[in-house]
Amino acid sequence: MDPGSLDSYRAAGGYEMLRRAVSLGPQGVIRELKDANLLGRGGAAFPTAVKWEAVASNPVRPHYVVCNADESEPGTFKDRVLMEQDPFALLEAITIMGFACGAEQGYLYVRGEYPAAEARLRHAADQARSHGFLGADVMGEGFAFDLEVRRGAGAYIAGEETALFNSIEGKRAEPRNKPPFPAQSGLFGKPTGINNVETLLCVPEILSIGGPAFAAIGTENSTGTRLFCLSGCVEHPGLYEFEFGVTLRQVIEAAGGVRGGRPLRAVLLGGAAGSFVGPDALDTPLTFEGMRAIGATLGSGVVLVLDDTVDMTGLLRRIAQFFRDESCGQCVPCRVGTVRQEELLARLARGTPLGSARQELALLDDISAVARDASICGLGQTAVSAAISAVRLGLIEANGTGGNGKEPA
Amino acid sequence: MFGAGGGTSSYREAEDADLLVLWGSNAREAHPIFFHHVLRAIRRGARMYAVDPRRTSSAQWADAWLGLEVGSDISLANAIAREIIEAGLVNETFVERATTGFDEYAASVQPYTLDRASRDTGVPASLIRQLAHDYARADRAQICWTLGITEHHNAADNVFALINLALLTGHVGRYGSGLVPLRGQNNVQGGGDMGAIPNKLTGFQDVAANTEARARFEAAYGTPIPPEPGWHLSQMFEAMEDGELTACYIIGENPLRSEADTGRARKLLSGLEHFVVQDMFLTDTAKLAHVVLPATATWCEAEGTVTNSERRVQRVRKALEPPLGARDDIEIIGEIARRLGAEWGQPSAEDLWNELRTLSPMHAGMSYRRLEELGGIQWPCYDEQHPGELFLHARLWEEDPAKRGTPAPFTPVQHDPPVDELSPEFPIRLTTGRRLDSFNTGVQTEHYATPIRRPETLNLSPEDAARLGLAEGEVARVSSRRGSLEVPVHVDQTLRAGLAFMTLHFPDQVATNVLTLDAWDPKSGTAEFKATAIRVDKPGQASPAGENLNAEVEA
Amino acid sequence: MDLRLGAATPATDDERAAVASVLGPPAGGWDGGERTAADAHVAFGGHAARARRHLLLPVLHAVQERVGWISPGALDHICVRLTVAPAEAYGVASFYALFRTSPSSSAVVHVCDDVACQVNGAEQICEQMEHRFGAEGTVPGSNGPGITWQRSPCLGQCDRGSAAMIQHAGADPGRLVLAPFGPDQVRSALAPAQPATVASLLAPAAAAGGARGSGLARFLPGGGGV
Repeated sequence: MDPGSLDSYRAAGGYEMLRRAVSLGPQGVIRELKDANLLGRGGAAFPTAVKWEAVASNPVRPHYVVCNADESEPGTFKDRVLMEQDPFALLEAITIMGFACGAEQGYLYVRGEYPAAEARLRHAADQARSHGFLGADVMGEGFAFDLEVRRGAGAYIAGEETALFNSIEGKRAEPRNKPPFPAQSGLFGKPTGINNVETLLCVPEILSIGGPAFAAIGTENSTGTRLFCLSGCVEHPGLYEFEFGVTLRQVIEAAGGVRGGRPLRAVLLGGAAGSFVGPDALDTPLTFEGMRAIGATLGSGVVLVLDDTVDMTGLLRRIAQFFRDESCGQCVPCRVGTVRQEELLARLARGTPLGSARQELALLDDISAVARDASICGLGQTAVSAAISAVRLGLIEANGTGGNGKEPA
Repeated sequence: MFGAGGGTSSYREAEDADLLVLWGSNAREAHPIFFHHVLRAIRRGARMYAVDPRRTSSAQWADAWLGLEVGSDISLANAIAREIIEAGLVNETFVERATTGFDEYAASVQPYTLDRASRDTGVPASLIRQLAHDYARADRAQICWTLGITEHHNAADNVFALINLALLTGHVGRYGSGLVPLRGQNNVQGGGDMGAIPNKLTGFQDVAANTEARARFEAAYGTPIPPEPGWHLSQMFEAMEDGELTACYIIGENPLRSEADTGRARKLLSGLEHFVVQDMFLTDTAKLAHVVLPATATWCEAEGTVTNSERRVQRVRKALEPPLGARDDIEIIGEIARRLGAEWGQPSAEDLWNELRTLSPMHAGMSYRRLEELGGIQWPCYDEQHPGELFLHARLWEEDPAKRGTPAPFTPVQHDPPVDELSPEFPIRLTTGRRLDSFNTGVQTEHYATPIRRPETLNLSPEDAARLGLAEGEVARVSSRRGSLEVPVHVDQTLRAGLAFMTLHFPDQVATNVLTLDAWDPKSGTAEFKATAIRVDKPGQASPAGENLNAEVEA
Repeated sequence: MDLRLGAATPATDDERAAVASVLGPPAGGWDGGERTAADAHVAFGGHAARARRHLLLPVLHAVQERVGWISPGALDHICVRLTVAPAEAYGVASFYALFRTSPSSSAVVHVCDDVACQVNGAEQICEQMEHRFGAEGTVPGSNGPGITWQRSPCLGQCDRGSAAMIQHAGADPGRLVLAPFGPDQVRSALAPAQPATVASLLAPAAAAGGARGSGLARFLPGGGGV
């Protein structure tokens, strides 16, 4: 299918699910999502139907819908591939969301580092508009919906839903306190539904096979399929779609296993905001509940494979630098905590701990607890997760080395 | 208006208004506290219109700025009224039940078509129409004004023009709607309320017409009170000129610097036989006096009350001892009284206030205890159970005519352009005003530093500055029919060609009132500070022939 | 609102044109346009003016693309057109990594050194970039046609081994993603013969790097392989 052609999309069945949505009506659509038990694929795993219902039923007007295409979690590229290869599908899905939530205006916020995806989406939106799939009377079905594509400008934190609203509003991408939640007060202070690209692309699928059929895929609590972003020390990095419930071992094997047949040291699950798991976790089912059970997270689907040649200390320091850089700076636990984490890991790497390495690791625990409990948003709350999991796995030794025999720099 | 001279609405009502008109008010700089309420209103979605010759910092917040010609406010107001009538937007129920004189008023505004007003004011007809419709249709609307309306030779008429609009649309006597004159000094409202005006006793009881009140005061004071109104300040200056007024006792006022036509003021004050000034600073006026009585700073060195623009009487408490030699105003006046043969004892501020409460019905319920408990009380407050009135004239909305009382009158007024006419010799209209960083004649503000204060300048539009070949900071000679002075130029985007601006804040550096005209309103006594005709030249160029070109550059 | 503008030099014609490409031409003298007699007695502002505040990022993008940085003069002009306080607008412009608030090369190469690229030789690539283009962040001759490079957080090309994005400004601006990446690619990517056109971006995925990472492998029930 040619991603630049509306005709090609329609020939492949495009926009039939929008018609299905209209015939079901907004409540019918939301019921299907409820039956499907669709959970968000952006990282937070919130029930999508609950979100849409809260917006749809809010008496305050107008409503807005937003597609969060600010994919910036290190190791994540699934949304980019989806947008580059199937832009019309995303537009159709957002239109369905607008219809179901009672919104006449939607925004698609795509990160500034995805020029190809942005170009294809803009082109697709122009085509859709000129053919009546966006505008004052969509497909002649009597409802209005239009979409504005907005370009991000290089800020990981803009992927946080309320920070994204602030960015669309022309402000610094600083998260807001929640509650109120977006369904109560979101974009421009109005009821807003916001979802990730992959989540939205599940919607036409659900309308096509029906909610119960979707729920039959995967596990009871993690329904449907999931895109996994394989990268790092694997033979064939790329995007892999599996039913929920597949194990970590199976996913890595599908990607050709650890490259060069080297021994697996660890896997970073969920990106920089996620955590490391060791070889002993390979048979864990990749589900939301399965991850919770081992204290890890699926996050945005990152599976970053690391072998025995990787400089773990360097990696952790790069993660710490990332969070310190990307912290918006509003709240002390994150603004200061991310700095302290970076400094601490640097001291360990240099072999100059404050007191002993053990005391440093206790300090790291402390910083993590404060950031987790007191930060305004998920960035602060997860900034130290990777480091803490690395310590738990012994990826940082008590003497501060990276555990692969490398001496502190 | 309608009797007592006070704003109808409380500050907080502005926050709930749908429409606010700042008419002749640069509240952002001159009434910043009130402007906070305006900003809250704007944040809640209220629309704001600014009517001002300059596009001031207040006007820059407005949804629309009407940059009218100086002194054309009545033409604008009358055109708005005519448009409201034509468009069928009059609040007919209110007009019928609560007003008188509508027919004459409607007839008087007939000639003020949108086009006529557009010619008089320079404002496009479509914008005048827009304001008319918006004001009439708003649920809650206020008109807020200050010196831009009252510092004119026809000040009272300007105010009537605005009152007429509120009566036409029923935007008075209801929560959130009203007429809001913003007072300048913190207690100028209180000064009038207390009777320091020539035709009213305390509590706005007319000295001539209200014989019952006068009798009560006479009984309380134990002395007859002349039934004729006295002189206001402009009349006093005329009386000095005629030799009728030969002695003067001034308390807390600096007329040498604040009066129009400084040259004349200096000559007349210097000619008094006996001149006493009571003040906390040795002002330029005080320097002309025969006797100076140093007084306390009443905001921190004395007990008493003050009254603000929302009619709220609040307590002032002594916090500091005055410096040696300065004495309390009450004490000074008591001592003078004793030497004049009246023994008043040594009353405290509260004693005097309690006496006042027995004589002024609108203050009767305001004991010090209640003022302290309630954090201030808005008059009228008729007894100790009365909570004070949030907004005035609610009676006009009563169903029962007996409760409604006397209807409010429309007062037809006509456009009357400024007295100091523009001519080929004096082609630029100078208007004066104030800045955020300084206060009036600068006596109180000149002693502290602030990074936002610039020295005095002649503000010219970019067009005029270019035409006159004057660059930013270059010194120019400004002349009016009364005087001349030199002042550096500041190029000011908020001015249009033909309009200039100066302040009165730096009389030692630039005595702006050397230029202004003291044409004053017979009904209010305020001079036309807002409209002077000037010419601007480079220094050294020939000045026009004329009297009194003394440049008052240094004091 | 009353704005405190303070840029030493006003916006250039290019900068004004970039802003107008998003907002349309100014309505008049009070809106950032030429001052005429029509501005002498009337101005509009207030809610209608502030309603366009949300267009600040698209406007900043337009200026960044045209000129390579957001100058104080450009920012003042933007503030007048959108009724934003300059301090606030500067706070927004300086928050985002793709906006530059100091004079810059027209081409900036963002080289990913984040976690996935780290295990794929990002450090060596950065060493080579430094060798070839100087230290990170160096602006060779300010505001000119030079090349500046800097390290970047994840660019979302983790399936391709290494990655960089070239952000270039001018009459024909663009953002070019190169993945996998090597320093040799920079100059040829910027050569005039190969501008990134809409058509080339819209072409069906012709990913550099062949089959690896070019698509989506699906493992569905009853399905099996790719």
